[in-house]
Amino acid sequence: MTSDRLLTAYTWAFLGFMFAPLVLMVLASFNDTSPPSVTDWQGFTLKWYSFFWTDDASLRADPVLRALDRDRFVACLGNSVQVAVVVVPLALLLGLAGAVLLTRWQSRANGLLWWVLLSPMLAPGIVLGLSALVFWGRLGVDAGLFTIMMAQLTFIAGYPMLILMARLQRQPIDIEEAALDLGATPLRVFFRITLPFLAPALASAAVIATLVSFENYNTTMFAKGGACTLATEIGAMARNPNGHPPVINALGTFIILATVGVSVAHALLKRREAKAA
Amino acid sequence: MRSLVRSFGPALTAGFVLAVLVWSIVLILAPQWAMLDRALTAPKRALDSSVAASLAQDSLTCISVLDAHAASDAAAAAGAGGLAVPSASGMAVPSMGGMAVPSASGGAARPYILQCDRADTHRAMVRANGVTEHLDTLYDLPQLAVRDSDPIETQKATAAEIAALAEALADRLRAEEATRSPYTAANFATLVQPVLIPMTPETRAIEDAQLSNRLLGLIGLRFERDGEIHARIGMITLTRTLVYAMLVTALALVLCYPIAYKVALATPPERAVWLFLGLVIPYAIVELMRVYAWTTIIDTNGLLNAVLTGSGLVAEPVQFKRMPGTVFLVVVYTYVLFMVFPIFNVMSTLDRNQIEAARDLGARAWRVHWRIVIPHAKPGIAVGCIATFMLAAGAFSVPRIISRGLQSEWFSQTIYNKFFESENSNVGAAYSFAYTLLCFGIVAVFMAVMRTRLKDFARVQS
Amino acid sequence: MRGRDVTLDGVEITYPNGFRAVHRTDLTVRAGEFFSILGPSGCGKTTILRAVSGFVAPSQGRILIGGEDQAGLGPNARPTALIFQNLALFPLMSVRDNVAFGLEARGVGRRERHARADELLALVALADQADKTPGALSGGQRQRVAIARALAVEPAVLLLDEPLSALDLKLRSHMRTELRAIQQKTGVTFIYITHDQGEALTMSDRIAVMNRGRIEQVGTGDDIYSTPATAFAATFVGETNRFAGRIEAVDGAHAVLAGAEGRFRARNTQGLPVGTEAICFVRPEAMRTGATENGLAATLERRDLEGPFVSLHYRTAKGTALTVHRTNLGPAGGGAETETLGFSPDAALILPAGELAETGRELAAE
Repeated sequence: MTSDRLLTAYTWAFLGFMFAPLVLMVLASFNDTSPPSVTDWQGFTLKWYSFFWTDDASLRADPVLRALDRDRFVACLGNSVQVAVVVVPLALLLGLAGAVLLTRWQSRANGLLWWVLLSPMLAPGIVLGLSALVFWGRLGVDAGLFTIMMAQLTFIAGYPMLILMARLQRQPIDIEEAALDLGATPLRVFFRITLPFLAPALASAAVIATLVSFENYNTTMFAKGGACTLATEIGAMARNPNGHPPVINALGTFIILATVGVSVAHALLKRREAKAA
Repeated sequence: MRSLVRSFGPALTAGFVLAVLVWSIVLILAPQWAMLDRALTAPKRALDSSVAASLAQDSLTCISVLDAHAASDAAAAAGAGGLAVPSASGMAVPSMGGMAVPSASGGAARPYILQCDRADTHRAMVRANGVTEHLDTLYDLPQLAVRDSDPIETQKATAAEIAALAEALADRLRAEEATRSPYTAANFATLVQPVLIPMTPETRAIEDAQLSNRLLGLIGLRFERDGEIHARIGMITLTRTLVYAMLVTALALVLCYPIAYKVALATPPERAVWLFLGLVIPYAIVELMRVYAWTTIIDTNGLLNAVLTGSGLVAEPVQFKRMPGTVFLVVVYTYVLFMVFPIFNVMSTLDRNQIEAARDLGARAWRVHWRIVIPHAKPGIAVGCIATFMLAAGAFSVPRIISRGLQSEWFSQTIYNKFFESENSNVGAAYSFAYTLLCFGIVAVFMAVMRTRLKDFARVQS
Repeated sequence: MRGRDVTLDGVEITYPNGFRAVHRTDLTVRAGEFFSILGPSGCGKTTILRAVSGFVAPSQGRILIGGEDQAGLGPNARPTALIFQNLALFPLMSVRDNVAFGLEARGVGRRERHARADELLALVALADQADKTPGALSGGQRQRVAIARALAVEPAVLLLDEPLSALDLKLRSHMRTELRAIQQKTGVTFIYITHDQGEALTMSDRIAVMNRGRIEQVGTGDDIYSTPATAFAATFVGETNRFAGRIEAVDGAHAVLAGAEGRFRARNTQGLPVGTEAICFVRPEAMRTGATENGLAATLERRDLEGPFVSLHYRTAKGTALTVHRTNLGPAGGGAETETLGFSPDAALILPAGELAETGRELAAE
């Protein structure tokens, strides 16, 4: 079974390829040098982390941290939260409506609707950002958080739609018919039968939509006008030709930890759901 | 629709329909329509009426600047000393300070004034197709210009005359433009417009020998005219980006198929959960972070260079961020997992017994894949390819962060620059729209060839 | 709980794609009756059920329940309850909530509906399973939950769509008795859809045999088994031997059919005239060896042991296959190589030629 062993070895190599840059990023976040490096070890430090909470005086004392605008950073993070708070519930709503129509609406126009609703997920992100900018600009709305929300919503709603659709297709229509036959009104059937059935899928969809909204750079970058989100602010640091400050690495380490946590929780959730179904 | 109402009731159905209408019209179709509209309208400042109007404006400014000039001359003549530098108009008139030297020198009656120099009916207008036309010849104006050698009064008179002519012309053109369709394909035409590339003979010899340039010549994107090299820069960036995106997709498929197979079919389910998690974690980490992670490796004094110089393979650190291959590699790294999951999700629905049955019937491993696994996984492969291709084609963060502007653009950067940096949003809109259309065309052809349908997108979702 | 009668008055059902699932049908199911509709898959029996429950509107004709026209009433407004083939239990609710759901939908208070649910669960012997989810129950238990859930809304008519088809053989025969008992206890009209003749014959007061959107015969199990009305009914219900031919003579209640295998005298219940293309049907258990009447020679090809009886497969010189059932009297009970087989004229029936049921395929599909 050498081919099996080869496949296993390749799998580990692939995982190594996926994780190595992340491990290096974490390592560099503890190195007392800027731009971040793992080869030029200047000693262990936590100052790239403490950037986020240390007092102003010690910030000004550091030659690298001095150049960074922490308040702006925090404001941009706040914007990201604000955007996600608006975008995620709306995306769930639109996604649910789309999923219901695409799975249950028997019509010739159904095929067309597939193309329309899926096209934002396929289109290059920049295009969505630009078109939101142009369209809302024409209606007199300046680029800013609102255009970011609209541009993100356009394609993020597609994720809940696909997830809910897969789940809806697995729900036998019989169950809804049985409830109707027992005298329930369609509204009751929806809230008592269909929605609880979709609940785990809605939860996964919310997690994914939040992640996508937070990390989105390509679309947001084009729709943002003068506003910023965490992603665009991180992206802006790339403009420095000397490399970015290791504060980014520290933030990256936070994000990796959070992601690992959420992923494990999500996997457990899915497992429980699989057991229940 | 009737069955919808029956299962969900009129109120809910109306809500769903309304939500989908808002989504598809307000969020999807109308913005694209606005883009198309913007792409098809000529930029305001490129309209002939705007050119005429700006000529009138320049002439009037010329007169007022000349007036101010005369006033300051008079003041100087009054012998109040060199103390008053007039600031008659808020206009930034160049080299006003140089006025201390009076007009006698060089036969000019005044110093250089930009607006007076531009007060010339023979104003050039470069069309989208590269042809240069002139305002006076095109619209039958007398050829008039303000000459700095003329007496000031003559100059003012000429400028006034030009202003009157230009204003009349502008009014006439505006009226005409208002009735004429405002739409033009000129913005799209800039995409294929050739640009002269100035080169010394030496660099040209080097450039000509390059394979990529020869290929570009073969498809007509780079050619020689009047002894000079011309290139259709927009199309070159577009083509290169699409070729890169296709290569990324192909490479991602080759890399991911074995992984998807391993996790979906060749590992006991209870262990596959952990392998799966190992794929989910890098997938879920913020895209930008994964791009930044690479900078530690490819920087001039990054890990890779440390290894290379340390082992004596290279003497000088390699400038990886100048190499297109680096951007390519990081794009692969960033989007490769979008290939794994669709394939994995479909593959894991395959009954493992089918593989064992095929083995039992004497099929070798490759035949099992070719006849059993690949046909089953085909929708997942198609969806993975489409997702990866579209992400790679629209990549913006990776080239921006990795190359730091040190190498040629990806097309998404070109669109960004047209839109925000050159303030030519009409051309930017045309680029963006054309690019979207092209990408969708490629996807449609691919789907037809692979015989996949959009519904497969829902099927491959876990 | 009182059953009501169901009348199909000239009902015709055509699907939007033009397929006519049910041809013009007049049918009355009596109040409190256990009525089965028996037919192969795709014959239109489920469509009739869905029309009665209100999921499908008839394109022609009326459906009356207890004399009231049901036109325009949705499934939630009809005095019917449907038990689905896959049961359609709500997977996320407890068994008690499943049973109480219909009452919940009618606005019955929590305490009252739970009490009623527990009562019904006791009726189906599931009182101790009320807090589990349906996923935790066995097939037979889920079956009973579905029945209790349907009965909770006190329907006048209970519609059952092959609810036993997913169960294994033993459980199925047990559930037959149980269903019959519940029906008799409650007095609700049952309309039972099945393609399994055993189910139909054991439980029903009356049976309708259906094929290709038409009801071919309505009658008691005995009627249908011993005096089928059409060639299809004869072949679909029970096994049968058959000889094709033309009627040569008619005398009183009997007629003589002449065909490739010879002349056979049998009952002519439909009074077919001389010259009619017809088929003579004989049940395997009515075939005798060494008989004098309607005799023909055949060679034994195979002996299948079925348990209480043996199935002997013969073939005539002309190639007609014949099956004979004989009580199993031990291993010695085989037949001789070639024998004369025959049957009494009163045990056989002559029917006009027509479509035959594809019993083999039906069995394979099961």
